[in-house]
Amino acid sequence: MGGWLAWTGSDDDDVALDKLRGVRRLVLITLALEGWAALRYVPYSSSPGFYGAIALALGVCALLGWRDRFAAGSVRGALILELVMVVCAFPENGNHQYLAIVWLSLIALARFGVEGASRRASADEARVALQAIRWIVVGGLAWSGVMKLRYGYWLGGEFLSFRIATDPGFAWIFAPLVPDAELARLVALENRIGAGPFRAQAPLLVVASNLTWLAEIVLPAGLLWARTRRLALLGSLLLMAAIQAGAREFFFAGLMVGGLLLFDARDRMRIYVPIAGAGYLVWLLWSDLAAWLGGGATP
Amino acid sequence: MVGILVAVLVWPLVHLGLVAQARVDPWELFGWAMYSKPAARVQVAVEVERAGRLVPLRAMGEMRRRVAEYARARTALGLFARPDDLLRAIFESDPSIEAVELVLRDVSLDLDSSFLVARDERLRFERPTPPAGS
Repeated sequence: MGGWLAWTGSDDDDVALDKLRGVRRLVLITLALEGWAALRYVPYSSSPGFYGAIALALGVCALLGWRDRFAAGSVRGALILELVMVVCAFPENGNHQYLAIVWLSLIALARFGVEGASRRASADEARVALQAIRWIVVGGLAWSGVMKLRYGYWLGGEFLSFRIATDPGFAWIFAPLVPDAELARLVALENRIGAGPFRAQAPLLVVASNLTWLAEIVLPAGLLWARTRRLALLGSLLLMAAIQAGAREFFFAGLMVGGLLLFDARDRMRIYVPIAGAGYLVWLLWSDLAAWLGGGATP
Repeated sequence: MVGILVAVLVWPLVHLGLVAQARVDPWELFGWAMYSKPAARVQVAVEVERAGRLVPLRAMGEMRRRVAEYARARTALGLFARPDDLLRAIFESDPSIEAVELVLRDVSLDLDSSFLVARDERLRFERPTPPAGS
């Protein structure tokens, strides 16, 4: 078992412990801020007291879980709170919630004693937990590509055409790949029965569409091979950035980028976690910030 | 840890089956199939039968919320979504309702034509018979 687990890389004791600490903080921060963000949407908005209390408790877990001393209790507490949230709101859950639950479960199974005799055992468990998390990143990316291939909406660019037609964010991102006339045709299509055709007529859009699922299958394979890992990591991060430019699934992306950074030989989480936290906060407060800035500019 | 990992890696195979057999939305339930196709959309209209005549139900307030809730559940979970709560609320709202028909309109992007199409399905439910002696 240990053999194939290590295909995703193996860390020294200190690096393993640092990385697991980083991913623990990342997941706890993500869940705490996502809990607040969710209050804007149904069904969370229909019971703001209940879900607000859970978000508050997740925030406490994130604060306490920053310290190794309180890590075990915070991780288990957050895991239970998130399970309660998912069950109560089912089936209206984000996939990042399931991802966070899986990662928290793996983190919870590792010991947090980083001093004295338990340090060696803790590092061993941290190493295995990190390898499992990295495998989930590899599997997730590869499955995403396989699913796009399986359902067929990326082969002729139908999915991207549909999103360009119905989502101004996608239209803006893909405008450089689509001739003006085709872009105007797609944007004019309405999201109603009988609308179409959504088959892409711009060759570059079809190429981009097919490169996406191909990259999602090839890049994770590159992450499993030490000689191509750095290149595949860079490619995967660029792919994630490209996808998020249109998709804007910030909590999912926040976790996945963190998972990808675990493939780097050094501990990048020390830098990434504060950046991710600040990014979440800006996104969470974006509408308020925009209103405030807009209000300030108005005489 | 290995057990959790294997379960997560194998789950998308099960997910493919759930989508194919039970019409679960590929975007839902952690199957790594978000963005693989346009998100599913099921619209629900309710018709009720009184004295043998079928008429649309004008759902307001709480009833409207329940219809929307069932539509969201049906969109996400497909055949796994049960309308029991909605039906109970409808039958309890008016004793003269003899039967309920749910008209489910599944709006999707047809891959062959690349047009948005609708597929309608009608589900009929008779008023439950009270237990004998009640």
